[in-house]
Amino acid sequence: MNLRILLVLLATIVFVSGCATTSRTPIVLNEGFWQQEEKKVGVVMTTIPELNVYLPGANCLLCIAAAEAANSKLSAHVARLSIEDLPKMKELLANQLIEKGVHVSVIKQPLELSELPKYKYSAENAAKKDFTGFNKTNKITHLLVIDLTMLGMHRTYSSYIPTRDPKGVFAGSTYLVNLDTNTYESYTPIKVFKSVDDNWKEPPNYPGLTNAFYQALETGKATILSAFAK
Amino acid sequence: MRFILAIFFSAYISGCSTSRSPYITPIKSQINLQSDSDFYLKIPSDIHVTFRGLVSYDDVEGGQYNMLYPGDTAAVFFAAVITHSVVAESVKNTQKQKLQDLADEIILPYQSSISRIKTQDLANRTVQQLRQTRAICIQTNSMENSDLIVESRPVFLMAKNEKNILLKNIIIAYSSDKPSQVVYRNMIEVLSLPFSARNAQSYWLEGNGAKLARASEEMYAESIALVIADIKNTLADSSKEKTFHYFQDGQKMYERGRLVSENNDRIAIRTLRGWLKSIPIQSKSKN
Repeated sequence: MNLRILLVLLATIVFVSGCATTSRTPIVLNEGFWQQEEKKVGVVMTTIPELNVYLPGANCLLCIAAAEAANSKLSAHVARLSIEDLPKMKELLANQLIEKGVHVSVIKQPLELSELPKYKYSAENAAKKDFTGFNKTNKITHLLVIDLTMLGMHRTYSSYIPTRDPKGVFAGSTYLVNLDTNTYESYTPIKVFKSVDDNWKEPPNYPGLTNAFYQALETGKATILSAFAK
Repeated sequence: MRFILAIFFSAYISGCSTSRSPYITPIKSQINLQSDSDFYLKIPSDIHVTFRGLVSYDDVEGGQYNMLYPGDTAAVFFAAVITHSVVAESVKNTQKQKLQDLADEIILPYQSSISRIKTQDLANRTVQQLRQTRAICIQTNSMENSDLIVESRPVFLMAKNEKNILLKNIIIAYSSDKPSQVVYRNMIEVLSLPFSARNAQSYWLEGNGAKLARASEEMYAESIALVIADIKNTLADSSKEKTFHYFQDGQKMYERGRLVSENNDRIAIRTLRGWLKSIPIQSKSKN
């Protein structure tokens, strides 16, 4: 009996600690970066995620099915929204750096982070993935990554039940990696959630939520550009 | 089971109070009016105008936890899921009500000045201003001889930084002979013009709140001018949909819509809902 209690306790501790994901704290770009000579920055963007309705908290299979069925009209609408000039963000960011006198190379191929090897060494601000390969293939000293992870609508659930009204979401991060050391010289997490302050239930076109999505999109784009604006 | 029912009812009762911003589904103008048509502006019978705090729900968090439901029988399981749903809804509403209550505290220092702004004065000055500047025949004293009755329910919302006021004016229009048949319905939002004074409270309260009263009148007049133009179908509606930006509460804000009018101080857009929103042009570049 005691062994069973111990096993349940252990399982609970493992489960609870597993829930807490670590998120990297922001790193502000050191002013010294702009003074560095002979630096060349490659700008790359991960594949833009498809517009989606994210339903975190609906974890069991039946819960997922119930939540997706409850939000099916919203999902159909979200798929029709436009991301406008979002794919041009790396060019916009590159132009911003060029104006500051930085040598820039825009890498056209989308970055697949899952295909990069893990970085073997531990150091302060070291990236988890090994970006050093870009040093050789693109002849650059730094890599500026725009990594988008969530785009569309976001609604939290507790099993079968929504715990919050949907919001427009734009999430990801943008970071600058020193390819000599594979460490972050800057890291800006992006988590933009925009709500509807009155009625969001307006099918089939959901104008309030659509506006919230475009608010999130514009705020997210502005956050990306502001990280290197100074 | 009794325990579940008790939770259900207590949550249901506490969850009834919701705090929502004014909302209305628009009805496009279905009337052909002559250029010399007579409008009657009907305002709420309340003596004083309504001011509230402007609230944002962007930072409202929702729990993402797993729930274990009792599954003795299917009935117990479904009762537990329904109870959970009612409790979650109640929590959401309580959270929103708390935010609104907190936002409303911003109004407290202004109560005395607000009490001097009377709805009848607001309407009378609007009528005077519109008669002078826009040649609109609009009145507040005789409903019988008017072609159209324009009923207005304004609410002024003050932002947390106290520098911006947003007017939300619900408009319902009907002809005097068929009051039950609504021929136009819409929400008109007007954001106050920016000012450079650092201390917003001193600015608004100067001269017994004269600037607060004047800004309220100007915003209200702007909303009624937009309504009249929209009822007459004279607003431009052919521009391309895009995202407009402006500054509110010290932040860059965005609104998706189409440009319908532009003057020296302001632009007006038709939002995705069909509402009209007037934004100061100055706020594009400065707060």
